[in-house]
Amino acid sequence: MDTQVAESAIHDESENGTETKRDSGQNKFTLGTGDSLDGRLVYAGSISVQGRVEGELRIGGTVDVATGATVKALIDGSSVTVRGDVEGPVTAREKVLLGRSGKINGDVVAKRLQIEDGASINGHVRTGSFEQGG
Amino acid sequence: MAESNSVSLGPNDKLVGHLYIDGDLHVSGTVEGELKATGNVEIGEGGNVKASVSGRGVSINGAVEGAVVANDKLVLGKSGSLTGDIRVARLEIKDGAKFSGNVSMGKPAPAKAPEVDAAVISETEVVAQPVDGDGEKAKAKKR
Repeated sequence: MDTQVAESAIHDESENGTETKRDSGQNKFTLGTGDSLDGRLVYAGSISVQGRVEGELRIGGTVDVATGATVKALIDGSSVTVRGDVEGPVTAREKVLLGRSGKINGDVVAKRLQIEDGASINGHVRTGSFEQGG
Repeated sequence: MAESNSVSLGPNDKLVGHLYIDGDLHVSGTVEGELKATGNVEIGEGGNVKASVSGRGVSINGAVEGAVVANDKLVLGKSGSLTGDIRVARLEIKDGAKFSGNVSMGKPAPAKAPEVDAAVISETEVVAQPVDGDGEKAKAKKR
């Protein structure tokens, strides 16, 4: 398991810095409107994407894909909120929220799933107990 | 035209077979087979449906196992559970709902209808002869 964190290690203090808590007040990574990430990111905190991502996001906290953002990536997080454009599989240990401006093209696996009217989704969806592969 | 028609299957009602309704349909009982309505289809909280469901608007608060087609919108309520592939124009899923299946959406009017279509209509028509048709009723019975 070599974790080659992408070149965007600018804000990344997830190693051993002097942070607040490791649990719920964790780090937050914000990828702004003009920012882009190409590659694979493994991150213990939360991420908010307003720009463009291509690759893979494995996030310990929440993933927030804002309106206008474009993500062509595998997304794995505890909770995932999508209001932008996502192409790729989405997995959430807790919940996926697909907002009214959101779009997912890919399979979704989540313990809980909420989709707002106006959203668009194409792919296979499965909700419910997470660990059981059934 | 005539979409004021509304059919309701209560909690103790049971249907096995194909049902076609020119109007709205409400189900809180048990259904096995196929449901198709030109209006809205509502599966109530106690509803237990093992059938393909097709309607303009479909809302599910009970349990459904089967393919669902909504020409307009599918709403899966918080007590709803759905296992099956869906084709809808619009989709809303409330937090708490259970869902497993393929979703395809985006095309408002699906050109290629799935396996739910045609052939269903002819079966239900047979029963619909008027009771008061005097004189000519012998003819109707023969069929």
